[in-house]
Amino acid sequence: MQLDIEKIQDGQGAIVTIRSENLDAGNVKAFKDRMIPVLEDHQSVLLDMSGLTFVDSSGLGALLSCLRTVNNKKGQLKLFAMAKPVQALFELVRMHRIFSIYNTRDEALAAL
Amino acid sequence: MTTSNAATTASGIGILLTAGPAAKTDDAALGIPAILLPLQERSLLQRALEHLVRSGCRHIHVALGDAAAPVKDFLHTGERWGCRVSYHYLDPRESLGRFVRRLGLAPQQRYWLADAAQVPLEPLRVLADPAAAAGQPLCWNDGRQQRWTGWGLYTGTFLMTCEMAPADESLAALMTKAGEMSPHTIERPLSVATLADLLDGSRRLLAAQANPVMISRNCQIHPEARLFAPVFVGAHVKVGAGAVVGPNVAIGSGAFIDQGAHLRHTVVMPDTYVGKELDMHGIIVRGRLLANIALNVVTEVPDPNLLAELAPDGQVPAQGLLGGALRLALAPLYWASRWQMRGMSRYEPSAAIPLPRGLQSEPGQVQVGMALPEARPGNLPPRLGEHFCRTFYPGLREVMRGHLQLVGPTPRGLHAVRRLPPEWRDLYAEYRCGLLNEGLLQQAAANQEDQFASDALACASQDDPRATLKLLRRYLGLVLRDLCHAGPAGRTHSAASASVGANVENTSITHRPI
Repeated sequence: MQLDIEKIQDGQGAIVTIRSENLDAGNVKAFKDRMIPVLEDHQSVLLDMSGLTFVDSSGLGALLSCLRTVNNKKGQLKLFAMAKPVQALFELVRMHRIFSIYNTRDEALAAL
Repeated sequence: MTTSNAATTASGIGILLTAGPAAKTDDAALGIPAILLPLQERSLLQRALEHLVRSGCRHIHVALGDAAAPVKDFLHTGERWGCRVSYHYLDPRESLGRFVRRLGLAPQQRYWLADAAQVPLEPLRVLADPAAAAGQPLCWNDGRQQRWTGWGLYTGTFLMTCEMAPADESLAALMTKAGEMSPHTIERPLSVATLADLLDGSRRLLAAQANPVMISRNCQIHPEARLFAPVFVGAHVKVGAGAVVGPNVAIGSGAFIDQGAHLRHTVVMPDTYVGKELDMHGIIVRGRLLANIALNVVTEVPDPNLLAELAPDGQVPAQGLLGGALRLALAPLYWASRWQMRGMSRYEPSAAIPLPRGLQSEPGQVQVGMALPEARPGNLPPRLGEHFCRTFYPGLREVMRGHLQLVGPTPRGLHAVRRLPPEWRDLYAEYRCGLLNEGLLQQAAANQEDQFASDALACASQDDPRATLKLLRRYLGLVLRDLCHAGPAGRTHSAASASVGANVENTSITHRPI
């Protein structure tokens, strides 16, 4: 899985763009492996979800794992530009109450 | 408008459009034509036919569109509703007038014209008015203007002169405003033009029902579940502990709402499994298909732990054939394993669980059977070997009959559970599992280095026949290894069973032979 990382806030934060349509059992390990160093190196991480069209329960678990990592170091993880099917799934499993979700990149940046 | 029996004044013939003006958007978004989606057990197609029959129609010409087969399957001859049904295909570009001329109707008589995609909430109460020479359309007021419902009592002459297709928007204006019309205004009809209309229709039906909380027969509602009016619960529905259902929720027959699910302003279609702790607000769900009205999206949720379609009664899945083939092929292995395990007593492990004071048979604790494996080396039957001999192989018979799935987790409805023989019902009732069931999968999860474990997990997370076959191959390989390495009672259990059941080696439990 390819992740594009863009530094913001003088390197304190990063915008991570997921270059995959799916986040499921097939690529969740690769996603976690690539996300862990990003989460460790940055205080604030914005996750661009615009490319994702499908997330399964293992993908949701990986996102929760990322959130736990960020919370442990008192950082921030914000999701933005989520596709409607993914948003519907988040609402179904009540994860929209746990994550900070924004419609656009600008809204997510403004909330930092 | 007059309350009367219209049969004495109309022709007793109706024309029912199943691909009419309102049946063009979101159709089949939930897997079947929208007019066949049940709203409180009755689809709009059924409601339309019932209205026509109550209005005196004894012969109904059904105009079929794209979804001809399911409509014909549902209505059959119409005998169930006390009428005769004739089917005619209607080309989307064909005008209504040409279609009516094909039917050979008498020009001077009046005929009911009905659209199955929008149906009046109340039974029709319209008497033919001789002063209305062309017809009497049923309209509803949207606050700004009168809109045609797709229904009306029209003369044959007028219908034959309508040179627009039923899906043509200008037809509505003609049917409502043409000269010599005597329109009747009714309440806004139920509609399936959009999924939002469908959800709204459910809400209005709930508001109109006689009792705020309607619970059908053979439902199981856990004492800790909460229902908030208005709510409709169909037949054979199960609602788990802690579930919150309502307000404005309609649950179709055979659905299973699992523990802790929270449903508001939602329609659950029949034979649908709703997973634990799910939150649904403004949702229509049918099997794995989820329509979120606020987001205006229909999406498929492939995870069977969240949403699933429960197998309808009597349906033998494709796995049944595989089950039969396996039963034949594995017969020698079964008899070999029976011979291998001769003389072994069957253990039913149990664990000490304290019961509430009033239920204790003696001071202290009572023995309650639990699904824990016996764990004393030297006295243990080969775990997978025993599973194969006593659970897997006999269970293939139920797989053939479509009562069980080969590999879990697979949800099943209460109706399916009831058809199981008693001993299987105790094992599998209400659990989402197959023959290679959650117990095996969970133990595999504890030992992820094992190949069986990784196959089992892959099988649980994917709906892929290749994963199922791979898991079966691995399972049977381990069974063979178990049976080769373990002899009659007294031998130690094999390395394979130790690896799969490693997480219970140190569990302190008691056992009692059957």
